[in-house]
Amino acid sequence: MKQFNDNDRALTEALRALAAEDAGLAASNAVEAGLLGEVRSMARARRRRLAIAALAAAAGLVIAAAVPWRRSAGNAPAGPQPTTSVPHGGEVATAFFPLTYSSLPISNAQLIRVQVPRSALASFGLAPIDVPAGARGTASTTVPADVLVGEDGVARAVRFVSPTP
Amino acid sequence: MDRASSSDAALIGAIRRGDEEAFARLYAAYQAPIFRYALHMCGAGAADDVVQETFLGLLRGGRFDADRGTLAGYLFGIARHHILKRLAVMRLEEAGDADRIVEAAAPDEPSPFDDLSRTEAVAAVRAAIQSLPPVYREIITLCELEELDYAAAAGVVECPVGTVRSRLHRARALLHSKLTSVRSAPALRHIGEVTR
Repeated sequence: MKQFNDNDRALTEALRALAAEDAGLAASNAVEAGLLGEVRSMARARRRRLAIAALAAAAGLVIAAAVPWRRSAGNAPAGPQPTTSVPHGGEVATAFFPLTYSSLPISNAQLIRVQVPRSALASFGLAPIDVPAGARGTASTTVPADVLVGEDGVARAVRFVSPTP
Repeated sequence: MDRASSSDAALIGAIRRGDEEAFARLYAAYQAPIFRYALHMCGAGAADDVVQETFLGLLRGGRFDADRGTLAGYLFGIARHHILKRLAVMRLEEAGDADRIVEAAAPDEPSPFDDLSRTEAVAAVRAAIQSLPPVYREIITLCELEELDYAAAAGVVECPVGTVRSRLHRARALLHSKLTSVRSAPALRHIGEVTR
């Protein structure tokens, strides 16, 4: 029994010696560098997502502001625009309607999908019937719209979208 | 949730927000144990890759829950997943002929380390660990070399604590058996006599 205990202790000591010898082992610096690159990339993607969310919020505000402006200016198009363009598979959209700052030069434009009040249709000269049924919003209070936003965060144009009937 | 777990969760939250310093701290704390675990399980050629895959797993949507265990245990668990894929061991529990070898061990024989210097003993143990079946190599690495307690090791290998205890007992017996059989080989015995 004593021999067994001695052997067990010797094995434990040998294992501890091995652990101590290996204590300094570590992954190569290239692994850490690669992972830090991944963290940076994730941070960039996160900032981009936040920026897009902020742009979408800004675009919504601009549209909300544009609606009364178009009403007071009385410059709505004479007739409703036909819904003939196809922005994505399975969707149809109106033509783009210029917004207040449509004349400003635009660069790095992004198309941002937002929900706008249904009342916005009228201010662009559209009756609800001019936007196919799917675009009227399930609760009939909002419709989906694509807002063209420049990198300056200013919305230039908007179009209303609906699924293909 | 204790303070350490809370701190780990906060660290991961900061990393997900892109805090490089938080990641560097977490990496510095855990990469070496994961590296050594991978080294013992699948060799130097794969250890770096396992470390990389483990931390990428954490970064890309790993769902660490501080209420369910420690961050160390969580990372060892991810690493184990990648190690098993590399070993292509579908059922680690199949220990082959290990039991027969354990039964053949004679615990009352003289210590296999009697004639060895410390360096030789370490080399002999390292080689003996490498020759163990993965299921025992893993438990020796986690419990003896990385000093995880039984509960933590059970969490990593997803088995009851009692299984960890019995597996470790068998692993040690098997290790002793292998060391004894190697030491009884004439060439090694000769080395022991020369270096004494």
